[in-house]
Amino acid sequence: MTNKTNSPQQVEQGEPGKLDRRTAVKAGVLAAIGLGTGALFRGLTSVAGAGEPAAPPAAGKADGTPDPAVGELVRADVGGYRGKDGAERVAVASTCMQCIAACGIIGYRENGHIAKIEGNPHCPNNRGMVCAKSQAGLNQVYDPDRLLHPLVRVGKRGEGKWKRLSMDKALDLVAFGGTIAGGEVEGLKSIYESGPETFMFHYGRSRIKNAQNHFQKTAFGSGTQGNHTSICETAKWLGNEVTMGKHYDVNDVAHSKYVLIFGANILEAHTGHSYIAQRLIEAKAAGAKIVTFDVRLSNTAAKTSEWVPILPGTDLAVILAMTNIVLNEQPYGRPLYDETFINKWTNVTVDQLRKHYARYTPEWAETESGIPAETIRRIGLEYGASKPATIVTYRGFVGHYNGAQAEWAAKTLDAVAGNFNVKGGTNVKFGGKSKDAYNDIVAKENKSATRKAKKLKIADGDNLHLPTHHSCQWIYEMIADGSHGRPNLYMTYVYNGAYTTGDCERNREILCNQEYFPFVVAVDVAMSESAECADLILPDATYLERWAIESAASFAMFPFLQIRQPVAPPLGEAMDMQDIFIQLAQRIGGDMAVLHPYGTAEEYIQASIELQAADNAKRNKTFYTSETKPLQTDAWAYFKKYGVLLQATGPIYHAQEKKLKDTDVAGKVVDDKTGVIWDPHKAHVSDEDVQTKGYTGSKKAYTGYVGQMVDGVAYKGFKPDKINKSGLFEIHSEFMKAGADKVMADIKGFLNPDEGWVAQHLAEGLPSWVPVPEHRKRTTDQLIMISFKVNVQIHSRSQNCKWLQEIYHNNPAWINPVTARRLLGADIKEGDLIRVRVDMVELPWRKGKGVTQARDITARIHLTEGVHPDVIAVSYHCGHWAYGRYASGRQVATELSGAGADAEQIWWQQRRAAAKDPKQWSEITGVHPNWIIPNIPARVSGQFRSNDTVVSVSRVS
Amino acid sequence: MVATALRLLASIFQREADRPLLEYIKAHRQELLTSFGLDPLEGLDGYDLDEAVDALAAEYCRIFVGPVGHLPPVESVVLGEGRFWGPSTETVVNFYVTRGISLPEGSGLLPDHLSVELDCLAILEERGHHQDAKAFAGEHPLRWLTDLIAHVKARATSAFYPAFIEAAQGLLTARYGG
Repeated sequence: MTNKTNSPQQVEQGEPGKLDRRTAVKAGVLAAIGLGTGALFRGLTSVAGAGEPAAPPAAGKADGTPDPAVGELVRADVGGYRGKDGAERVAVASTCMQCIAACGIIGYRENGHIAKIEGNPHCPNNRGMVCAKSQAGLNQVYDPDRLLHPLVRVGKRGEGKWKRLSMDKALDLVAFGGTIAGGEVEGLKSIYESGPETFMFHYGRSRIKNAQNHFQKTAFGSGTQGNHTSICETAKWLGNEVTMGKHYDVNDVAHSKYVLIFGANILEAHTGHSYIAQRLIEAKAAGAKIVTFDVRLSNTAAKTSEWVPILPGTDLAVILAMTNIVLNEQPYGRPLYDETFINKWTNVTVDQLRKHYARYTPEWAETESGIPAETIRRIGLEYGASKPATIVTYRGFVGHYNGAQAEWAAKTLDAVAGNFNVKGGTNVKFGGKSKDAYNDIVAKENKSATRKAKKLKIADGDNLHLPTHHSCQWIYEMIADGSHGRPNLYMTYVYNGAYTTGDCERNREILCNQEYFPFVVAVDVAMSESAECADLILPDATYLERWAIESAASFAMFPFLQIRQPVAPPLGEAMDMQDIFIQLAQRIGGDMAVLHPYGTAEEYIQASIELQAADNAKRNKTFYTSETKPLQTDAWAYFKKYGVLLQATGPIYHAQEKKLKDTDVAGKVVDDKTGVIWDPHKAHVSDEDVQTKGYTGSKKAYTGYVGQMVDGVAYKGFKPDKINKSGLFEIHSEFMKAGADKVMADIKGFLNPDEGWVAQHLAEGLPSWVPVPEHRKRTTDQLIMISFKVNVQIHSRSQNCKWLQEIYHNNPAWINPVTARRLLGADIKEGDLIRVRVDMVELPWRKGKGVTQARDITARIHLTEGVHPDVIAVSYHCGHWAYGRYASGRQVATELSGAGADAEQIWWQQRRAAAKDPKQWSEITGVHPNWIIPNIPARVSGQFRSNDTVVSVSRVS
Repeated sequence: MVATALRLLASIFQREADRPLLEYIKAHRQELLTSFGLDPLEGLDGYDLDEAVDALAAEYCRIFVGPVGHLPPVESVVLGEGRFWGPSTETVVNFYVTRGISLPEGSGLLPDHLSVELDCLAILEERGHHQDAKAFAGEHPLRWLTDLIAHVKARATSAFYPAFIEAAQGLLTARYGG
């Protein structure tokens, strides 16, 4: 071990405080240079008159509570906190962003740094509780490999040679272009003037959508934008949009008597993770039955009442069969379906449904899913009889070719059983609403400065049916193809697209190609496998250092707002992306500057809240405190202090039943065909189109939706989003029906001879069976590879967190021991090394594109009966090489190994070398399954099919 | 004189060298060689000044900034605490606080960055608080400079940063060691 205390050299000793000769010479030479340069570093401030060592500052009040500054919580607000070693510790309410759940947090700042994170007890969602990931948020801020300064490439793209730039110079480079590594790049100002659509903004979990849309679309005029939704839930959102209108559903599990979970690991990784998890446990304690259909015994499955292993991609078959049961069986002498809801709020009749679903018997579903018919019947009956009940679905359920159809079917089952928009059932999302200061003030008062955004058509894949949330994993292929144009400036924001989607090798090949991407700017907190391909990297402020208004889906069942505010100022030159937008707009000047009048992100966020408060006053509404009392004080001050602003005082159910006032419908149009009340003017639809095309046929008519006529009464209904559906709960979907031909073209070659009925069913526009094509060609020695998340990691943005990596840093492949012995030999044992090889079936719609070059990975085997025998399960999270020391397991300074007490405990000390090839297993960092998952989108939704890959396994000799 | 010297070293490690700095170093090259036995411009003779500035910017990044294989010149990281703002940072901050020295909030600087610690020593020198400076140097920069030097030497492709990090250690040892 290295001795950390250097041995002082023998020096000539002089009188204390006086310079000895040798020191004087050394210092004199350096001083001469320093005085000459004239720009010496001064970072510290020396208080005049100070000097002698002083006593430490007082710890605050006698109880250890410091006096709070404005906007800071006090002991009574947060249940107590302590100073450490006499240091002042202040509490700042904010919002977590380790995962998408956005829990309310309290960040404790001590001596200028963040010392601890706890849950905010005032937040209605998480009620003071947070998970391990949230508490490890400190690691994001203090990651020693974090990007603190802009970096510009000085070598070839991807070569890893950089130099630091000041933030000013870096922003100039983005705005005005210039020379990078000997080549010229075009800046935003030039693009703004010549072809704004060639500025592409591609974001990961940004949570600043208003500001980014204002900058890029409204002000700059580019709609060329990519997101990351199809990695997670594009198919789910489409299934929701065609039925209930909005894209996000909330399962009110706290009040459910029966919870059916399909492919959703909600105790570990749900989009509402910590707060749906605590409510599920409360429901279980209150006697609810919870059944989990999953290919894997996740911690969720283990904690629920019953785990039903299911073959990947066949959940749809089980749900169709359960719907059949609910429609037809009456075990207690009464229907299990809700005829009132069906007749009033859907666009079908019970008879129509019975006829369509008759084919989907439990016995048929058994042949597809492998689940015994009796189990399907029993659970279907239990679900139908236990009201209220709810069906929870997520990525394990929708990350398939048939994901959108499955979600459509799940929503239908909830609706048929009378479990929709009811207490304890499945509800349309409630989220808080805030005015957006850019939209409300700036754009409206400066309309002439705004632009109608143009875009390159590269985000929606190639010949997909309804990619309402795009197909992000296919964007690089679209850019390589070039038929729809290429971006001149590609800016990523906290998006590691080359590694978080499939075909990683192909992604990097495209992203590093300067012909495809002339100028790549990455804005991120830390280096990534994608940022390696950038020309310029800007350091982003972490979520604990920046501003936003959050409106997470409310599992409290009423709307509220949350603040995200800096717990501490950004380190280094890191900058809030919203401030970067302001800085860039000011550089571009003209209308861009006019449309960005706020000096900082904080000013913009404050203006938004103050506008909402003013709007409340105008409408005779109010914010409420966390104790559900009308807010009597300044909204901004309360928001900063407590972190939340409530917009209702209690749960809201039956939201669609809200009757509209006469003033709501005055001057609006009722569409004859659908009964939709709408405002064509708001939707920018001409009178002629209103007459000739009507609501459903007019472009983006849904943006003018007001309500729905039902039996002569105007209701709020199920408000549409993204498509022109009615305000009914549409079980029959013309939108899904319209994609039937494309689906049939894909799957017809994979159907059995006796499955001619599949085409007919699809054409009926009701939820129908669609098999995953590749799975039909699977042989008995092939497995289906699925991926999953664990409770201490986020998909791809937590591996720089030391505390989390210490807990979970490699990811053995789960295989059932019976399967392992059959395919790999009777002597296969836990921990043996295996090769997982993708066996790509030729799919008719692939047309030779998206064929990954990396065809296999290696992994350690984990033998467990907690996985379906036809499955190999490999988690996400692992296998990074460019994401800092913790994610990559690479020592930055070998001479420091074992240096500090903490360093000795780091997992990689035992085995020093990280893998050289990230496709191969590493004990330190595992391996990522994305290398061999094809990016081919699901045809209907554009979903990344993370759970469809057919593979073979073999031993590594 | 010592304070100015410390601030020069702080400037060198705070960010990459600029043209004026290189010009002055060039002018004092022989004196540096005589005083420290170090030639920071060794290996840069083939470059003109602008090229040297560019080369040193890449070198600074490679050694201290990253994004890969670097080691920030920050006490908590070099001491193996595995993070910015580790326990040693808190000790440093407490020292500043008790001496009426502060890091302006929002400056983005880390209190235990080598530059800031050298700046602290400069302030103490200006105050004439030699014993205080000696205590701080012994408990902080002199505890970790050797390891930083090893890293700098391992990563450097020119003599510039190894020379100045050794000069820093030489000056601090001469002034505060023993």
